[in-house]
Amino acid sequence: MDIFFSYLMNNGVPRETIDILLMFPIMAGFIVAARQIVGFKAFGIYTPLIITFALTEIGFKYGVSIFIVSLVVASIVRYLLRKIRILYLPKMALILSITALSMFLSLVWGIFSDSTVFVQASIYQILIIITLVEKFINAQMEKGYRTAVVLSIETLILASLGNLIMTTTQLRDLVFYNPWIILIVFAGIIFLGRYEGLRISEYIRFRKIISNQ
Amino acid sequence: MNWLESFVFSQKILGMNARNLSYIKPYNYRKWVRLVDNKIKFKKELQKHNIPTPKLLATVRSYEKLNEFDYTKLPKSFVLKPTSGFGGEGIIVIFGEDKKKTADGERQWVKTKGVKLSETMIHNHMSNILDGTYSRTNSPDVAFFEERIKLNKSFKHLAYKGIPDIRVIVFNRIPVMAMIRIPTKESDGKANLHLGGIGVGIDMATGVTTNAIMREQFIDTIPGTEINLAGIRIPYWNTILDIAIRTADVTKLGFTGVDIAIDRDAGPVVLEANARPGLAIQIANLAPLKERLEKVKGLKVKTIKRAIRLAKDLFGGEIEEEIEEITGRQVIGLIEEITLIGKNNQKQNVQAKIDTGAGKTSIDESLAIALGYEDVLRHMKTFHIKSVLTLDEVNSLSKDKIWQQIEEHPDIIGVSKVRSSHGYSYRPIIYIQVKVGNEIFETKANIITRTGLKYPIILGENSLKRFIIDPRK
Repeated sequence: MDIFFSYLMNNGVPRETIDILLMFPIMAGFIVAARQIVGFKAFGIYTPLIITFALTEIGFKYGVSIFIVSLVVASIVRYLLRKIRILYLPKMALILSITALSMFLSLVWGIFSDSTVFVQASIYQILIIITLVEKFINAQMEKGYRTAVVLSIETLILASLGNLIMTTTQLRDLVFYNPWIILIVFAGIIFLGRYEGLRISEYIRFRKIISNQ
Repeated sequence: MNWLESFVFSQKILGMNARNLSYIKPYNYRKWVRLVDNKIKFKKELQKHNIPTPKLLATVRSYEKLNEFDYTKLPKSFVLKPTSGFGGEGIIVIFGEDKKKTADGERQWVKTKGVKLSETMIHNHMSNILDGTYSRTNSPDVAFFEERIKLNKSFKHLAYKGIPDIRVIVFNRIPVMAMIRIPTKESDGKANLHLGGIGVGIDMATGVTTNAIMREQFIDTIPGTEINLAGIRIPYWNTILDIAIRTADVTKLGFTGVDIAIDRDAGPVVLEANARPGLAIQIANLAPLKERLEKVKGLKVKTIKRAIRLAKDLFGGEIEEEIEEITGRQVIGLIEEITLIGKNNQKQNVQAKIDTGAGKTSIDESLAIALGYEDVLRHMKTFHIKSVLTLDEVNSLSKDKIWQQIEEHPDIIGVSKVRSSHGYSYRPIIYIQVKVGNEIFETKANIITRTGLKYPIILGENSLKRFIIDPRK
């Protein structure tokens, strides 16, 4: 594997790219464990994963700020649009666009607080975080505001913890030099896929049944 | 209860992982899940099997059909729904027709809060449904009209606007758990629990409500009122169980939640079936579901009657416990599994017949021997008394004061003359220790010197003072 990675890097592939690809299964395994054992629902697996990577790129502080700002802006826009009779997709288009435009304000704020990291961050990372808005608004419509906020908070917690894992250089190096570790991760994911026990959140949810026994 | 016991008990609760992996996947094939998800198709299937369900009045599948739609065929009251709707979105309930037509000569109807809807407005709503505004995936949908369910009298004081419905979980043809879902102000007339509806557990044996929850918190009364939620008797309980089983049969799903409403005129009608029933029903019933599912797994239940019987016998009992709490007395059936504790602490588990018609408790010879009273029997034999006596014989025994000699034995506390259909018998009375349920007590019992009884012990009146007897148990 070393030879293969050296070959890639000698031909201009950044180490970061290799790291992200290698860490991907580990992050996926982490989110699966958080769902099956702890009971984090979040927004599926893709959203927390991609937001984790975006957070790592932009930096935790600004990433979380964008996360919160975009959800607040989207909620306000949805609230303002509620009286207008308009179909789902066009409505979502408006909400997403206005949220995207609100990023100008965030950039100005970045300039004022002298954050070169944020100001020069790739816009794609910011847009990735904004795509969360669709999931959020969808959850609002399907399951109510409360659930949507809970799911968002769960997603944020997962992405933050994921970010912590992603930024552990020792772990990155470990996987980089021992890529076979991924096979263990796969075995772990399969095990979790067959786990039938109660989730930690369910021990709390059903505590009254247990204490009533 | 220590943490280990709590942990062991908690394994009887059905969690998301086990529901999906052990029950939905192996018992609910995708093909049949699709059938229940399609409300129109499923409704037709129910009608084909003569299961009562709100009548389908009309369907609108395309814009062409929408433009051709004949409004004169709509009745005075109806419900308009999207086929793939969820959480009650996009549903319009029409209570009646307005006598006056609109300025354009269109018919108009009245929905909740007295809001009027004209033909054009209904047309627009259908157009939204066809666009997929209310469907799960926002993909094009079908609109349909169905009969409106009228609120049953016995639920009138309970429901806010909407109609309460009864969710019955059926597994392997056997109803395993049930609750009634009641719409509230907070849920805006919808019965869905996650929208703020109330869920109340139901005792499977009697159809009487037990505990109520709202947003997974326990409540006693409907918020803002004095109306008690426990102890409500659900009308048509047997019919509801019968319909739930028949609906589960139609769905071909092994594990399903059947939603049933009670119409004022038609009685119980099936609203829909759910291939992924929620887990909050366990909280409303304060009972773990996995334990119940495991109990009926693999049972071959041929008739619906038997399935109902099983549901009641296996999963009833909440109410009995409540009676026990109130009266402090345990409820027992006509046949009970009991434990007898013998002279030298030897334990005997036996089936006892509970007989309030018998004045005294009696045990048979072999049981007496097993309990260590062999010597009592030996002592009795020395008197050479026949097992069946005539009245004269009994009287002469009494005259001779034989009982005084019999009572010389330390274990014998008396002698009883028992009259039965065969004649009279003379039996020694001893003290025995009995454990029924959680109660351990000492009681007098006479020994029958005759074998071949179906039950080795008959608990008579003298031993039953601390119990309430329920013949159905």
